[in-house]
This record gives sequence, structure tokens and C-alpha cells, in this order.
Amino acid sequence: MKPISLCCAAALLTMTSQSMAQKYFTNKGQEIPDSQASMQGTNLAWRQKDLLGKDKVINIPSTDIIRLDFPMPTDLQSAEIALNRGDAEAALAKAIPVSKQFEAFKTTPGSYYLSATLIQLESLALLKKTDEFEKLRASLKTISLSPADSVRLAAADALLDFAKGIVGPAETTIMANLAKTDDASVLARLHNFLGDIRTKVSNYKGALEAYLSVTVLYGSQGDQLPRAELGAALALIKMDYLEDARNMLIGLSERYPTSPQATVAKKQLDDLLKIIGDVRVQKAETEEAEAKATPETK
Amino acid sequence: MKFSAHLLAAVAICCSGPGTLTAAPPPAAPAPAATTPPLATNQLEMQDLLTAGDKAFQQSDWALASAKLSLYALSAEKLGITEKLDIIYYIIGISNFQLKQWTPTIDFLKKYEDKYPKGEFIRDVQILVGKALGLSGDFKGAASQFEKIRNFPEIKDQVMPLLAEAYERSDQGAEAVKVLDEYLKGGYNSTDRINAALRLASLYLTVGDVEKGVDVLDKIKNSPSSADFVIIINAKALETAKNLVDTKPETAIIALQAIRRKSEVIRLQTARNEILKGKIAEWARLRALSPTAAAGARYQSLVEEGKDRLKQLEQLQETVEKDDSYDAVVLYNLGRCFDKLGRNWESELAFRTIVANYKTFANASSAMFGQVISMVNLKRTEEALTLCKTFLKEYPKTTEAPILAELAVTMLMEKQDFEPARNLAKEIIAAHPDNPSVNKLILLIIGCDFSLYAFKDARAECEGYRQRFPNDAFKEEIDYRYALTFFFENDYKNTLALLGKYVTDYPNGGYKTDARYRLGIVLYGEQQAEKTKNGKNIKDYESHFRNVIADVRNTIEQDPNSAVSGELYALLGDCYDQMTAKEVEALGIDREKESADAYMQGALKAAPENQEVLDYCMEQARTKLQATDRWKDIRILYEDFVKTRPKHPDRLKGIYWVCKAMSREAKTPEEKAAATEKVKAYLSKEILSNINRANTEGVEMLIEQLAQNCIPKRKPRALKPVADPTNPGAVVAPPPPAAPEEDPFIAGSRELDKFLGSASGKLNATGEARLAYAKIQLLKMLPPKIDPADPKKRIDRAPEVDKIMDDFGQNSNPDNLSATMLAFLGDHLRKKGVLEKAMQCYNRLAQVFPKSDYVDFAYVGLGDIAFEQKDFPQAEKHYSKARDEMPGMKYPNALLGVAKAQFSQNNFTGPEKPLQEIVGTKEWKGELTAEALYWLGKCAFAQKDFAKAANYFQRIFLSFGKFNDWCIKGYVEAAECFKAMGEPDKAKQHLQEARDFLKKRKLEGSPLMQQVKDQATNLKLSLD
Repeated sequence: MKPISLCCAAALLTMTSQSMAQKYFTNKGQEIPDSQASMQGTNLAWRQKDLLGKDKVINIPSTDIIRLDFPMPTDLQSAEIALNRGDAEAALAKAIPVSKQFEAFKTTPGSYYLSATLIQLESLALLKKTDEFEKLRASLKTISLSPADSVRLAAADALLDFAKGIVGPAETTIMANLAKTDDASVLARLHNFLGDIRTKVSNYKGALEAYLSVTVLYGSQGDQLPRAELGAALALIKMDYLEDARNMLIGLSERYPTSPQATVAKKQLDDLLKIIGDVRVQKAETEEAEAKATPETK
Repeated sequence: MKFSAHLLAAVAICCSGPGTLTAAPPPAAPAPAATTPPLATNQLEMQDLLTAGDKAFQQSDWALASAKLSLYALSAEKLGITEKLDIIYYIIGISNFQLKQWTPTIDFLKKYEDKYPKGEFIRDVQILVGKALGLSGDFKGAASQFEKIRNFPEIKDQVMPLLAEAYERSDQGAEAVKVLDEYLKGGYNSTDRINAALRLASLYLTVGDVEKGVDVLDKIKNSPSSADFVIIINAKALETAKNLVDTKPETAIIALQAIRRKSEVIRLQTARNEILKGKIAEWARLRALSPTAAAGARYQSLVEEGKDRLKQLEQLQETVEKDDSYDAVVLYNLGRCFDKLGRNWESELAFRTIVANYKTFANASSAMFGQVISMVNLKRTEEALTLCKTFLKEYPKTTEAPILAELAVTMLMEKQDFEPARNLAKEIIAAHPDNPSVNKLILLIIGCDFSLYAFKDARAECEGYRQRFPNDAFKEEIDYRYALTFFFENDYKNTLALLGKYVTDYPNGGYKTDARYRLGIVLYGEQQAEKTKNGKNIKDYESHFRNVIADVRNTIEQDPNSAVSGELYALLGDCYDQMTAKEVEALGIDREKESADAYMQGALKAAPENQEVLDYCMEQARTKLQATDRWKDIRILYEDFVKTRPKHPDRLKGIYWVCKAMSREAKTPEEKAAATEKVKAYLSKEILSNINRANTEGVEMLIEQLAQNCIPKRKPRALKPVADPTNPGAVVAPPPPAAPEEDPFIAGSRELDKFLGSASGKLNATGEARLAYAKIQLLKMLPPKIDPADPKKRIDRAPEVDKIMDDFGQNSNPDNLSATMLAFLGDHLRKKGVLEKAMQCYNRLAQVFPKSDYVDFAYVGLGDIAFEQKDFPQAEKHYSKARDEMPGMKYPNALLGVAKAQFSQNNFTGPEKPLQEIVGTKEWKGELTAEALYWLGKCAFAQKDFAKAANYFQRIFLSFGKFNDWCIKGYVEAAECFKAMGEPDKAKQHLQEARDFLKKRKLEGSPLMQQVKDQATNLKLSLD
């Protein structure tokens, strides 16, 4: 690819990604700033001033809103990150307000409802909250989903299956959906999940392959790397590649020292070092031993 | 005046530009007015200027607005009118900004800034001044302007990127970095910030601080807004990574991991382009709705600019779309980085993905090569071999092909698969006769032939080689190997001839010393043969090992540091050992000393990789040195071993011998005391280096040695008072009462604490367990306690040991124990009936320490538990595993276990062999032998061979009288045999003897007596 000037390209892109104005667009050509709007039931209440400067409110049915222009909500970003890290509680807590904010505009272009709801579903599945999952899942039946969203919904279904102990179908569902998306975030999550499923059925080689795919093929998903590397290391332990596992655990705890997986890795490492020794310590000691003479015995 | 609405619109345009100080060329300067219009001199003229300026401004006629309002401002200044002058300056500034007339923009806005520092628009004015300075090319001035206002919170986010750009463009990159660093501390959570981060990354990379640059790229990657910049991030990351793969692979990985796959990039960029298209449509709509041509022109320019940018983005995207190797390039570089970092699992996957999906990729063959290497490193030999063959088929002409051909054969050889290795090499040569590695492949074939003892084939290969490559660089090796085939065939005649020829032909040859060593072996063999021939008259026969010795010594002298020095000295030692007495006498040498010295030198000089020679020489030397009390030499020998072989598995054993020698070297009490202290210090240092590592074996051996050295020495007894012979009547004063002696266990434990440092808090759970183990060993080593009530009596310490063991068992978590401790604790717990924890110990030992010397304890222990639980098949399985797969210290117990388990499954013939092995091994003679005899008797009895059975039972009490239990069993079972043989008297006699045996040992009341009585009842015999 021909390299382009960074500054030039960045400036170029800024134009396409200017901070969004947070507006609602109606089918009558109106642009309603979010700062002047609030939801009243299913209507959007638009606060304006009349010619005399008095406040007035115009109620616009949400069905008249044809497009939203909002930046991605911070809560949604946080929910996605939490889910990638496997923190379903936090993901759920962050996704719910976003779902509520955009509930009146479920399928309106520019709405974040589906993204938030799919995170909610995955989180509920991970938390084994079956009833809430089913209820929310049912609410999506009438909505036409994009291919990428269909994959995420399938992933949520598979997660629930897995949570219920239905392991085989969960793996089949994931495998069937891998080729249907190119979204690195979703693919990384699916591979991590696949690793978990295979670990559960003691298919450690398959689990290792799935976890390593995250590192090698979807490394752009930084949040998901610690989980993948820990999964891979644990699979290696089960496969009796103890030294490789040790190196992977050391690498993980050095690369992502503040991740929760680093804490697990360190504990696992302690146990592993009892078995195979700490090469770092041994190396240092060897060097020390080589440097020093044996004790004075005369 | 109604400025506000227009003003805000104009300000918005000025302040919301692309956030850059890149100046577009200013429009052509308006033609200078022929004459400068006169200033207004009265109120009316002033009002006209203001109205005209306002109207022009409303209509976006910037030039007219600027002209009229500038005249108004100058007139007002002259007339001293100040009302609304602030807004007038502001509008003039904005109008000129729109006209890209930077000087008047700056002049009027500076007036505002100077005169109205608290004015309503002061911040906007300050930003516009900075922008105008920058756009005019005065980047230092711009930087200075932005510096003034960088800390106002309401505009900080707007100012910081502009300030950074101003610094960067005024060649103050370091300052720009500082500003951006500070700005980005607020996160990477908006497109503006990502934009700034890309600038920062670029700055870092420009100045060569790649790690920081890549770190910023990594943060960008992890930002939720990164998708907006995906195509740029990818390009920048790849460009950066390519330069780092060889020098900083770990950094390159971070950059490469920032790159998304092609399909995703295209999808995301398409979406971004759609957004831009929407904006263009929006601007077009607003242009159509504009009330004036000037206002419409502003939107028209946005539309045009947007279209240009869209075109550029689409071109970028097209470039990506057309690049079939876009993903492969990333994966290939990732694979290389992972490979360089030894992350073979990852590199294998990266290369495999290329091999599977990008066959037309320019580096596809290198990727497959990388995959093979990764597999080899992962010891996935079979897969690597298969892939090697595929490689050679698909890419026979590549530079990697010969390397892989050799590698494939070598891998098979390393697996000891010499036959397949040889066949593969031949296959490769046949399929690719022009392969540049054919000569090396033939050498490997010869190596296989040697390993397969196919020396004739090896010779044929050597001959073929000579014909094919007569002047090859490996000619010497071929000649040497050719000669060596005869050596291994014991064809000494040809060996002498050809190895001799080799030595002559290659006086500086690489194998010269090795050849001379082998010639020495041949000569030694000849001497041995002569000695055997003269075996009957060996006392009178004078051997001539001295000739071999002379040769060997000469070889050593010529090449004192050769790789076979160890072997040469070992041969020397063997020669001295094998000399006949007559030769020793003739030479007048101290044979033991000479041979010990030779073996010692062999041990000191043995090549690190030659384990066998080292072990042989060490063993021989130590035995001989020990026999002659040469402890100093033993210490030197083992000190060298410990120092020069720090990774040797027996290193701790070496330390044990160093310490033992140190102790034994000391002769006087003072020397002994000093040696003990040195030994304790040395041992504790070595123990503490390993005490926390459960997987290090041999630590317990040192701990036992330390415990031994911590036993306090008994104080000399006080002398009895002696009467004064010169004054027999004098009253002899009794000696002062001796202070009660401290329990040696307490004193020894204190020493152990001191040396193993429990108080220092450096011990982990394993270390603490080892310290407890040390105290147990100490207690076990102590002699019985002196009874305080009766100093002549001794109190057995067994109950004390038992208790401390129980405590150890209760307080220890098997997960923290070493193999030795697991074995030791498992056995104790099993004997105490704490089976669950005993099994935990055994299972952990078997699973976690499969290569330990103690692993057979696990299987024998598990077998014992299964046996006690009457699961005989399982017991036999465990015992058999211990016996067949890991024979060690528990080997006799495993034999006994197998026999017992088989007997219990009614297999009465199978046990005989293992039991006879126990009975027949003198070294094991003891309780185990008694038990083996018992089971032999039981087997014979079960086969109704009562006489044979009686004989086995009788041997128990005849030979193993100290084992009461087994003796009584012997008597009782023998009685039954005699009863079965119809000899009730003999049966009765045996039971009576058993009774007397117990009476004699004051065991009448023991359960053993009940066994005897029960048997009498059972056999209907009276003991009276």
C-alpha cells in the first residue's frame, strides 16, 4: 500500500469524523438538537421558543424520526470493553442505560439500541440469567438484524447453551457463525468463547488453536488478548507443554500487568514454577555460580 | 445592531476548521484602492459606514464588510468613540480571516485582545489570532499565542492540538510531544484525540523513539474510536512494524497487532465514506437553502472539498482492495516476530494461516519454512516432517529446500528413527539429485548406518561419496568414518591400518586425537586378549599396558584439551587397573594412586556433553580415593564438578560429597569443629537457594546432611573425684553438679532455624515444609533420650518421631511438597490409615513429578492402598507399573506387591518369580525377605505342596528372628502344613515353639499369642 502522509490523512479523516452534533432528523426535514429534546412516552418533545420568546414544546412521534446522529455513547464503549474482558456484570450495568436511551428508536438508523441490547444478551447469558435472557431475546424477534448483528445474537444463544451445559451445539453454532462476520471484536470474542467451550470438553488442542487465533489474527482487540493468552497458557499446561505455558504466563503478566488475567497468571505461574523451576532464577543463579568460586574450604 | 446571529455563524466557521494550521494560498489580494477613503467625520457618516458594513457582513461580503467597518473603526478611534468597538474589531477580524488576509486579521483581533481582555469574545479572538499567525507562516508566534491560553479549561481541548502543531511546524518537536502527551492524558476517546494521537505517534516515530510511537499506536488501537481511522492506523502500523521486525520484534508485534484484516478495513472505510457522502449531501442541501449567494458559496466550497477528500479516501480503499497480500504481509511479519521471540505456538499459527490461505503470496515458501521451524521448536516432529516433504515437493528450487532436507533427516535421527531417516535422505537425493545438500545428506546417511550398526552400508556410502565428490570439503570426514567402520566391527587389523593412515594423512586433522584414542583402545584390547590368554599363569605373566599408557600420555600431551580428554584419562585409568601384578612390580608404581589420579583427571576433563565418561570417571575416582582416604582429592573433584557443571542433575549430590569430604578431612577436634561450621554454612547456602522450589530434587539429601551436622556434640563427662593418695583421710569434695543437658533435639532445631532462616520470612510453603522435614530427620537421627529419672535408662524416641510426623501430615498441603516429602509423608499417612491424604500425596507425586527418583513410592503406595481395600487387580496394576516402568528404591516392594496381588487373585504360580528375586538378593535381606518367604510358603501351600511350604515358613523363624510378627506367622503356617501332611505332632511342636518364643520375649499378652492359640484351636491341637 502506498504510504500517505499521516497529518494529511488524519486531517482528511477528521472531516469524516467530526464530533457529531447529537441530532434527531425527522421525515419533514427538521433537525432537532439533542439539547432541545427529551422523550415523553413514545414522543420526542422538542423545546423551542416562539416568536415572542416564550417556551413551547412540539411533540414528534418517534416514528417520524428517520435518522439519529449521535456519537457512540461512552457507556456503550465501556460495556463492550467490559464484555471483552469477561466482566459480564459491568457490561450489563453499562449497556442497560444505553438500551433505554435508544429504546424508542430500536431500528432507526444511527440508533445504538441493538448494539447495547446484544451486549446485554451476551452478559445475561454469561451470568446465567436465563429468564431475563429469554425475555430480552424474544423482544428482538420482530427486528430485522444485519448479518453482523445476527452473528452476535447467535453468539449470545450459544453462550446461553454453554452456560446451561449444552456444549456441543454451542460449539457448532459458533463455528457456523465464524465465517459470517469480519468484525474483529466479535471474532475475537467468538474465538475466546470457542476456547472456553473446548476447554470444558477437554479438547485442549482445539482450545489452544482458538485462543491463539485471537492473539495472531485479531490482535487489534487489545482488551481480549489477556483472556486469550491466559486460556492458551492453561491449555498448554493441560497438554503438558509446561515450559511453553510458563513462558506464556510470564509474557502475559509482563504485557498486561494490570489485567485480572495477570493475577490469575501469576498464581498459576507460582504453581508451575514449583514443577519446572523458574528459568529466570535458575539462569541468574547459574551465572552467579559461574562467576563465583566454590567456598573457601581450606 | 444585530450582529449576534451572523457573528456566531461566522465564528463557527472560523473556529471549527479542520484543526490545522496548514495555510491554503490566500486569494488574490484585492486591488489597492486608488485612493484611501476619507475617515468619517460626523455621526451620520459613521452610521452609514456601520450600516453598510453590517449589511455586507450579513451577506458574507467579507471584503466590503472589512472595508466599511475598518473605516468605521479608524474613524471611531480618531473621534474617541468606544461604544461597540470591541464587536467591530471582532467582525473585522473574522471578515479578514475569511478573506485569508492574515495581517489585518491579526491587527484588529490584537486590538481587541489588548483593549478588551475581559471582552465577551476574548477566547475566540485569542484562538483566531493564534490560527491566523500559524496560517500566515508565523508558527513561533502562533505557538507563543497558544501557550498564553493553553490552560483555560473551556478551550484547552481546542488549543492543545493547535499548540502542538505550531510547535511541530516551528521545528520544536520535543515541545509538541510534551503538549500532545499532556493532552492525551485525558484519554483517546474522541476522534479529535485520535487525530492528535496519530500526530504524536508520527512525531515519536520521526525522532526514532519507536517504542513510544508504537505504544501510542497500541493505545489508538484500543480506543473505541479507532475504527474511524482504521485505514490510516493500518498503514502507519505496518510501515512502522516492517522497520522493527528484525531489531525490536516485541515492539513490532504491538504495531502489527494494531492492524485490522483487509475485509474489516474495507467494511469500516466504506461506512466512513458513506458518512462523508451524507455530509456532502447535507452541505449541498444547505447550499440550496442559503438565502444569499455568498452564504451558498461557503457550502459550495465544503461540498467541493468533501468530494475531493472522498475521492482520496476511495482511492486509498481501492489500493487496499487490490492488494491480495494485504493480510498475508501482516501475518508474515507477525510470524517472523513471534518466531524471533520464541513464541512458537503463535508463529506456527501465523505461518500456517498464510500457507493455507495465501498460496500466491510472494513469501509463501518462506512462510511454510517458518511453519516447519516453529513445529520443530515445538517438538511436533511428525507434523514438521510431513510439512518438510510437502515443502520439498512444492518448492524444490528455493534456498530453503536444502536446509529442510537436512532438517527432516536430522529430526528423524534425533528420534532415533535411523532407518526411516536413511530412507528419507535417499528418497530426497533420488528426487532432487541437484539439491545442494546432497553431500550433507549422504553424511547423514552414513551417520544413520553407524547407528544401525550397518557398517558395510556405511562403507559403501563412503565409497560412493568419494566417487561423487572426490575433492569435497568433507573428504577428511569420509576417510575418518570409513576407517571407523572397521573399529566398530572389531576389525583391529584394518582399524590400525586405516586409522593409522588417517593420522598420517591428516596430521592436523579434526579427528586426529579421536583416532589416536581409538587406536589406544585397540592396543588396550590386544593387551587384554594377551592377558586372557595367559590367565592360567597370570601371576607370572607380565602385561604391557605400559605401551598403551605411553601412547595415551603422548596423545594427551599433544592435545591436552581435546574433546576426548576424559576418554583418554579413563583409558589410562583402565590400563593401570588391568596391569598384572608383575607389570606393576616391574614398573614400581603405586597402581591405586596412578589409576585414581587418572580417573580423577578424566572426571575433571570430561567434555560436558559426555555424561557417561564423566559418570564413569567420577564413580571410579571416588571409590578409589575413598578407599585410600584421599578426602582432600574427593573434595577437589566434587568442587570442580559443582563449579563447572552448574546444570548437572546431580549437582546437589556433588555438594553432598564436597561437604562429606570437608568433614572427613578434618582430623583434630578443633579442625572438626571448624569443618562442621563451614559445612553448615555451605549447606545452608545451597539449601536456601533451592528450598522454595518443590521440583528441585536432592534438597532433602542436603537437609539430612545439615541436620546431621546440627546434632550437638556430647559434652565430655565430668571426671569422678579422685582421693588424694597423699592424704587418704581427706574428704574428697564432690564435683559440682553438672547443669542438666539440653535436649539435643531442641538445640539442633535451633541450629536448623538459624541456618535455614525461618524467621527471615523468605520461606514459602515448600520451604517451611522442608524446614519441618529437616527437624523430623534430626529427631530420627538422635540417639534415645536419657531418662531423667534414671540416667542409665534410655527412652525410645519413636513415639516422638511418630507425633512430629503426624503434625507434619496434618499441617502440610501436598501441593507444596517436593517429591521426596510426598513419598515420605504418603508412606507415613498410609501406615497411619489416613488413606485419603496419603492418596493425595501419591497422586501428586505421580502426576507432578513423573521423572523423580521417588516416583515409584507413589505407585507402590497406591498399590498398598488398593491391596488393603482388596482391589487386587488395581493393586497389581500399580505395583507392576512401579516395577516395570520406574524401578527405583521401592523396586523390591513393588515385586512383593505384584506377588501379593497375584496371590490374592488366586494366581499361585506367578508370584514365585518376583518373590524368589527378593529372597535371592542379599542386599535386600531383612523384613522384606521374611515377608517374601511367607508368601512363597502361601503359594506352595495353595498348590498343596505342603513340604515346600513348610520349608519356606520355617526359614522365616530360623533366619529372621528379630521380626516377631513374621516369625509367629511362620510358626503358625508351618504348623498348618504339618497338620496337612498328617504330622500333628510336628504341628503341635511348632505351635509350642511359637508360644515359647513369645514367652521368651515377654510377649505372652500380645495379640501374637492369640494367633498361636487360635491356630491351635483351629488345628484341634493342645498346646500343653
